[in-house]
Amino acid sequence: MNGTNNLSLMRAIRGPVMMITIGTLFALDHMSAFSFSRTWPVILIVIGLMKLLERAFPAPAQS
Amino acid sequence: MRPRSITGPVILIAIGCFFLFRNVWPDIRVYEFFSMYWPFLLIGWGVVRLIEILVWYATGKPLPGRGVSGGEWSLVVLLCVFGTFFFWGSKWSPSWPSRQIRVGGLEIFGEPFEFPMSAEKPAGKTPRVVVEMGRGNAKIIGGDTESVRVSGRKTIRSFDKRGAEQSNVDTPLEIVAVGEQLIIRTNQDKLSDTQRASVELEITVPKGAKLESRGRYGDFDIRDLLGDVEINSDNAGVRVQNIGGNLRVDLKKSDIIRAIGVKGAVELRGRGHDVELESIDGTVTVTGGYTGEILFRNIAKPLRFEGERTQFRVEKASGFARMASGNLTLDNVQGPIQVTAKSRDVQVRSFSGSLDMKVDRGDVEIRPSSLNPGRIDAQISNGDVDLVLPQGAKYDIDAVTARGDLRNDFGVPLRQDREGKGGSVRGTTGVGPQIRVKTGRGAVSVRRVGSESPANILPKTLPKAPEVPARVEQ
Repeated sequence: MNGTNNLSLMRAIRGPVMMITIGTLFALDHMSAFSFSRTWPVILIVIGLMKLLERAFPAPAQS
Repeated sequence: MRPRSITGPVILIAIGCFFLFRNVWPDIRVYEFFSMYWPFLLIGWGVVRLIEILVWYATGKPLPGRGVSGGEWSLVVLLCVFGTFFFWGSKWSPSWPSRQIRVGGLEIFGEPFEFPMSAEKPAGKTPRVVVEMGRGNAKIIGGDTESVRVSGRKTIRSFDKRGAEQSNVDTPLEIVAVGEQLIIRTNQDKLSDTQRASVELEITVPKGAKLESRGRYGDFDIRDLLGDVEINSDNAGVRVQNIGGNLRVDLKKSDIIRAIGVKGAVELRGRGHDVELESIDGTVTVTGGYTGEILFRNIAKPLRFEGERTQFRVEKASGFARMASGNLTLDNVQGPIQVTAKSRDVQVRSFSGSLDMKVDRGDVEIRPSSLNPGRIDAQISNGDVDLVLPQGAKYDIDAVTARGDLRNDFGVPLRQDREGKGGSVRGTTGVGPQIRVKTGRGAVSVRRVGSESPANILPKTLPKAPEVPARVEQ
């Protein structure tokens, strides 16, 4: 039960975390030398990290 | 019940605050502010959602399947598109307030490297100095010297130090004598497109020098010169003080042009935002499109402003002429005065001499001083007219509205007649000049100084005109 709940938490925060990431990258683009064209891979990394974290909790079907 | 997010109401409140702020403090550039800082809206939004979800989780409420709904994502995309649009828009527009951001925004590639610059050359007492620079700011000061001295620094954006050093060598600072001219050159145009150099120059020239500057992007700050000054640039802020000769400024774009203390004539042309001219002894001619606040103060000779939708001309302005946000105020100016405006409220106060006015749409206030009264002719297509005459003024008055209310506070010598939907206030208060006022649609009132409505208080930031007596409370 706790595992399912954790999993749904991970799923739920995926959106907000992406939003914060994109916002930060745009802010960096506007205010520093790191342009968006150089920093976009960070988005991929964050998505990957989120997926990895989800995997750390057992999916409900398997438990 | 599934908990509902607070972001909807919060966004509504934020939008409300944005527009309220814009309306209450129109001088603060909210759009530019937004264009720079909108990513933080995204960050804040994400943080709010994150905290919400964590709180729901901690309190054991059911969690939504997705932290951010599809609708919200489309809003996010919209925000990104608009934000980027505004960001690029404001970066190229002249009204961007800060120089740092302006330069920084274009040089996003690479790291900044700084190099000192200096050069000196003997020039005599009254040289003709030409400054040719690309991107950057220049401060030019006249001094008690007989040489031209340049110092400053150059900032080059490059991915590595060696590239920057090469670029520095490629863009030498030169002072070249060509005929009678002394040309100061920064050679930034020799760089390839991938690299950018901007300069920050401090130039001292002999006091008697004539100056001509050409720049592409950056500010000019010029002071204490006896000769003529000419400035050409694609995009610049210009600040000029204490010039003995004529001043000519030709800009494709500008955020501000400010000149204080010019002995000769001033001529501005081009486009820009704010204009401020003060204590000019020569004639002033301003042509072009200026979107910000325009202020002329203490102009000794004829002043001519030729905007795209508003033109005016006065013989002399001991007081000021100010144009901002749909409003034109002439206060303590000397005629003959001519005003033509498409859509603008116009106040002409404490003026002497004659007045010719043509306004398509806008309310008009006419308030001559008791000194040297002249003929007044005002034609308004659509707008109210408020005519306030000094005590004991002698005029032959004919004020007509084709459609609108009439008000005669002047009293007995004037007669008020209704004709159809409009009417007239006519009469003579003594042998004096004619006043012809006509509006196609709007109220006409003729009053004496002292019977004023509270709406006619001068703006706080501007000096009170000496001729207007204190208001009498009734």
